[in-house]
Order: sequence, then C-alpha cells, then structure tokens
Amino acid sequence: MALRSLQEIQTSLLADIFNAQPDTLQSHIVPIDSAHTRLHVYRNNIQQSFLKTLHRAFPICVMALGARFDVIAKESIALNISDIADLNLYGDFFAGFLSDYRVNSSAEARPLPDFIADLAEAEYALLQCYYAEDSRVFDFSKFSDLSEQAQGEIKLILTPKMQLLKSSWPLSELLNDVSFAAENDIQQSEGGHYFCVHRSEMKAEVIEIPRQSYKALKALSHGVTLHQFSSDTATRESVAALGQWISRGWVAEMAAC
Amino acid sequence: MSNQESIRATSTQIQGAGLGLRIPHIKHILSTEPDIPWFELQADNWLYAGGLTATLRSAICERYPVVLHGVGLSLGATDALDWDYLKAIKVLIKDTGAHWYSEHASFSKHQGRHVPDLLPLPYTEEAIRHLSERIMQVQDFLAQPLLLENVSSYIQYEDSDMDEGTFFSTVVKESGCDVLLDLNNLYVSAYNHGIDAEHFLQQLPAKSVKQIHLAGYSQQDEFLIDTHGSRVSEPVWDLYKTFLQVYESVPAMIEWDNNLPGFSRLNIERQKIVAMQSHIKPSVLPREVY
Repeated sequence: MALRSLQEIQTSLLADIFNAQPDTLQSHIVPIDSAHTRLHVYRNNIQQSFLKTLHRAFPICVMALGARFDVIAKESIALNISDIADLNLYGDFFAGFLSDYRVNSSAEARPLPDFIADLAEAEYALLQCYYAEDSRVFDFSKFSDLSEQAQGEIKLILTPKMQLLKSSWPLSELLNDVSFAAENDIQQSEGGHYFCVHRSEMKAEVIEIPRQSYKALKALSHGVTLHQFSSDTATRESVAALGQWISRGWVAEMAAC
Repeated sequence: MSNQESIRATSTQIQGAGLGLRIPHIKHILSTEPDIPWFELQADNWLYAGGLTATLRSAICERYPVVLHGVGLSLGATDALDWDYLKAIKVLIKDTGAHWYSEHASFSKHQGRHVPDLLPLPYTEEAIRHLSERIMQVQDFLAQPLLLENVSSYIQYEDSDMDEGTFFSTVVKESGCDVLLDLNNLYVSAYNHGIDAEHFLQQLPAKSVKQIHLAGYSQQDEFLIDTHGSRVSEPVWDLYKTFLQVYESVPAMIEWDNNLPGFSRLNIERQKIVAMQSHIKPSVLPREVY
C-alpha cells in the first residue's frame, strides 16, 4: 500500500463516515470485513450527539412536533455539520430548515404547524441570549458628564444578551404553553407581533413589545446617534423609553461616533 | 521556579478521588457542599459563559479545587489550531484557577467541519511528529503542561505502523506532556481490537500519569462502546487495580454522562476509588512486572 499522509487519512475517514457506501470505503480500515460496522459506531455517535443538542436547544419544538421532531432533525443534521466546536450554539440553521421543510413537504404529508419556524427562531434566540457574555452596566454618570452636543453624537450599544424578533404569531404564548396553539386556534396576525428576547440575571425570556419600540431598538442596533434617534419621526417618540431600556439592561454602553 | 514547575507544585491540591462535575448536580453540590476533594469541569460547557453559567462556575470554583477537561481542541487535526478557542481556554484556566487542562489524542475537525466525536489518529511517524508539535505549541501558549488522554476507538487504520502504546508513549516523551490515563477507553479499545490493555500500560512513562478516568461502557453487537452511561465496568476496575499494584496512586475520578444518576449514587461509586486507593499499594516495582 502506498504511504498516505495524515491529511489524506483524515479526509478519507470523514468521507467514509459521511458517505456511507459499504463498497466504496476509502479509509483503509482493518479488518476490512467489519469496517462498515465499525464506521457505523462513529456515524451513530455523531448523529446522536447532534440530535441530543437539538433536543436541548428546541424543547418547545420537540413538544410541538412529537416523534416527527427526530425524523426532521436527523435530515437537518445530515446537511449541517458544525463548523464550530461549541455545541451549545449548534442549531442556527434549524429555523430555516423547518421553514423550507414545511414548504417542500409533499401534499400527503401531515403539515407542520405554520408557526414552527418562527418558534424555532425564538428558541434559538433564547439559547444565544442564555449563553451570551455578561455586558457592562450603562454608566449614567459618564453620560451626564458629556456636553449636550456630545450627548447627541453618541451611539447606544445594545447588550449582547438581547435579540429582537418579529413574527406573525404570538410566540410568547406559544413558548409558555405550546398547546395554546391547538386550544385557541391561533391565527396569523397581519400587523405582526414584536419581541425582545433578553436574559435578565439568570433567565432568558421573550417579551412582547410594541412595534414602535421594536423599530426604535432596531435603529439603535444599526448604530444611529442619539441626535438622529431623537430627530427621526420613526424613533423620536421612543426617547422617553430610553431610561426604561437602560434600567432593564437592554442598553449596555455608549460609544462616541 | 519556571511556570511549568510552579503549576506542577500547586497541583498537589488535586489528590485522591474526584468527580466529573455535571450540571444537574450543581444545585445539590452548592447547597450541601459534599466532601469531594476536587472536580473536573468539562471545559467546553463553561466557555464564553455569562449569566447563570458564569455564576455557577464561580460558585463551584470558590469551594473546590478544579481541573479542566476539553473535547473541542482537535489536537491531532491537520487543520490549523484554533487560537481563538485556545485563548478562551486560557481565560477559563485563569478564571477557574484550574490546576491543569487535559485534551485528547484524536481529531474532531477536518476541512472546517467539526464533528462531536473523538476520531482516532493513525499510528504513524508523521502523526507522532504532528501531534507532538501541536502539543508543544499549546503548552507554550498556556505556559503549563497539557495532560494528554488516550481515546476509545472502534477502527484501526491499515496505514498504522506501530501499536497505540508505542504511539502514545512516544508522543508523551517527545512533547513533554503529562498523561490523563482513561482506563475505560483503554479497555474498550483493547477489546474492540483484540489487543492486550496491559501492554499499553507497560509502555507508558509511569511518572507522566497525573490523572485517571474511570467509566462504564456498553456492549453493541460485537463491540464495546464508550458510553459513560453506567457504573464503572468490572474489567475497568480490574485494570485500575492492576495500575495501583504497580504505580503510586494518582488522582482518579468517575466520568458519568448518560443516564446520569443522582449525586449520592455517583458519590457511592467514587467511594470505591477511595477504598481502592487506600487498600491497594504498589507491591512490585514497575520494571519487575513490565
């Protein structure tokens, strides 16, 4: 047998693990007669590990989908091998996968709930907020020391422990009790629902917020200055809410332009 | 005293029988503060952590000496080392006051894809050079010795031109690292490949073994699987007795991840280590046996 480099050996093993064709194994595993069975141990370990991670990340989707969750999750895992070591954040693709799956399912298949992709997006946002680093506490005295002109030129930085979501569905009710959907025959809201996903102290939660607040917080996340914020017709009515957002920890710090 | 000597000196706080810290047990541990000499933290669960995770981590580390055990470094990979990950590990070592950090002689990342498993390396001269160089880079960066753990395996490569014991001990000698000897992994691999586990022990540089893992396996068809889902298996206890009959005792602990029992049940399992460490003393010099 010709000598293979370490890189070639690793490439062939991964190819054999992910392309399970018993007749075309490349990894030169011995003894050859049990190579396929032995590789299957790794395939199974990897799949189960990712599946367990998705169960942990999307517990409400598991409740909503029942046994179908595993079937769908396994399909998604096959297409989404992680590019990071941190399994706590595996699953960023899952809401999009559910959305495509719902659209592409055959007519005979029992349809997935319409809200499932948005629910998954909210669960993933909760996960990210839960694991986000602690941010600083906004320093009011530093802000007060600035001249009025300098205050107008600063940008307010939102905490990494917060995310903003919008959906046609009442996600906070669904996250609290997924049976709410079946019991209340929920309908899509044309106006939409707006949410702040946030970790306060120890727990991440989803709070429904007014559309105006959502737009104003989005503007801050896009880096508008305080002067722009208080002049723009879309955001100026939210100036009064800034103090409340700061005290809730949604605004972490300020940055000069 | 050099950094590495300093780390080795403070590591005397890690002695006896410890436990792998598992998140469902933390509340019980913090409220009852059981008499456990040290805990091993799964490093990857405590990286980049804020909020509750950081608070719990601090609470544990204020009360107990800890060591860190990683799975995400992919030491044996041919992909570049992940320096951002290593920087996070370095911060974690500082924040937790961990006495040492261990990783596996395996690879998990290849061509940018990361799999949640520890894939075995071929036992070749190139792999020895590659793994040893990477360990030295990590040790230089962390300014402390790394503990290298042997992994369980289900495959062997036709490319290998030596046995696992020769491969592993050569890497340890060339890199100057220490050893986390996983006796469950050793037994599982030996069984799956029809080889003698004690032959691996014979080849280890004895003084380099700083920590031992004990765990339970399960049987699946003709293979043993490293599941960490039950009590320590009897053949693994036997291997531990063999180790204690030959070598001075080193810190040892139970790894239990799946079907996790309550803390009290886990602590009963730990007491078996305590009993063995007390009653079994080296009766023969290593060279007389091996």
